[in-house]
Amino acid sequence: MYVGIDAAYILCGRIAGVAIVISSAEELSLLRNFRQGGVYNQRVMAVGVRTGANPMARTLAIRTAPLAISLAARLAAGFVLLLGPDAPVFMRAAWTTAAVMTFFLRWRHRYGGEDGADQMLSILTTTLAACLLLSSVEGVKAAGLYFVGAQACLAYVTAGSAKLVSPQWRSGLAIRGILSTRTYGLRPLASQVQKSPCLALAMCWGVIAFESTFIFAPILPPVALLALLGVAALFHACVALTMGLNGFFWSFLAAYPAIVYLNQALTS
Amino acid sequence: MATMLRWAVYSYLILWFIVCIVSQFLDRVGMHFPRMSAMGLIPCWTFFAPRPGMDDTHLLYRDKLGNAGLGKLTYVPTIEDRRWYHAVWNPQKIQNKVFSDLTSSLRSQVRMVMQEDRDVRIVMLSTPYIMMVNLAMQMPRSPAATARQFILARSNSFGSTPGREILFLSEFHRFESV
Repeated sequence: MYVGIDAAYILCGRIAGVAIVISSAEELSLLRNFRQGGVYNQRVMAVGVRTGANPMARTLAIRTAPLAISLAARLAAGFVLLLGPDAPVFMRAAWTTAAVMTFFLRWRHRYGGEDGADQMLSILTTTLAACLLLSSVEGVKAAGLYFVGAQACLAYVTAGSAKLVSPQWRSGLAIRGILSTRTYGLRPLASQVQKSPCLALAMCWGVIAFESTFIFAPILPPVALLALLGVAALFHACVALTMGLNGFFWSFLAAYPAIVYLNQALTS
Repeated sequence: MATMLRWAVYSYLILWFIVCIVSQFLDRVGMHFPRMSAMGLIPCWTFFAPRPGMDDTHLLYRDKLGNAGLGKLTYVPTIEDRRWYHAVWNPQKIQNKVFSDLTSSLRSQVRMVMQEDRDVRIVMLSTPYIMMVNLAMQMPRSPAATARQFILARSNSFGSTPGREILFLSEFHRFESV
């Protein structure tokens, strides 16, 4: 198995394109809630905007039109990454638009709405956009992929380590507790893990084990790496199905070509 | 020039990565890079750990009914039951996260004010409190209702002990007269 640098960028783009399209469309579908009279009225949320802030900043922070335009631009960039031609000029424009709009939305959303999937997309779009813009300098494109691959491995290792030091995760209580919530759980699955503490314990330790294994991902043999990435993808699919966290599947999978590229560089 | 630029990019990426590693263990690191933190470029990769959230936080409200006392406690619908298509399409998770961040922020502010021995009512001026009032006041009301209070409560909805614990009670806020 060998992934070239251009193929890695294209694959990252295609998969990230799905993540960007879905997340932008989801937010566009909630636009009415951020309008005057909506439950998350932006004027109320922007109460914290300083009264001395310049009029342009206040407009961008409070009005719905800039939010709608930025989401639409991000959605378009996502479609270009997903379906557009492989030509460098299109990729540069799409990654840069996605990065700039992601920054603007992050600035605008003072009170959340974002999770680890959005963090991964911020890292991906910023890094790959910058490295494509500087791609005429030798080595920069590769450096971008190494960074994204290393960042994805850091994400899994950190998540695994944080669970390893947690008494709730080591005892199996964490899975039982999380799946017992309406926000992130499913009643039938909650009832199953409550009846079976051994199942909950096995699930907790299974997650800890595969996440912690990512510390070796940059140096694993190709078959072992593909198996690990397969397990991780399956985990994200299960999380999407049971917890409704659909964004993690696409945004983390978008980093996998970069993990493979990093692994190739270190093992060849 | 190209060599300098290449090494500048390498150095920046290496330093950025080191900062990201250190920030996973020390929360304070992000404070030294406020713009990067605000842009989400210093990520926190500890999902649901080491202290996983194992309860649902609910927003409820009750009305003052003139001389008839208080109305019943009613939920503001902030949590949607899981549907099969949430595996692919789930805008509700954004609203869940906004609500979760607002409640965390409000509770930290209340804790901070109480530690400083100040009047807790000062949190009424905070954005999270104002947002919660806005959410609660959007809900339908009876003609007899004169004011509304919002309540934050938590419960383990599908757990073996699904009781409800009250976390915060707001002041009563009058409805505007039409």
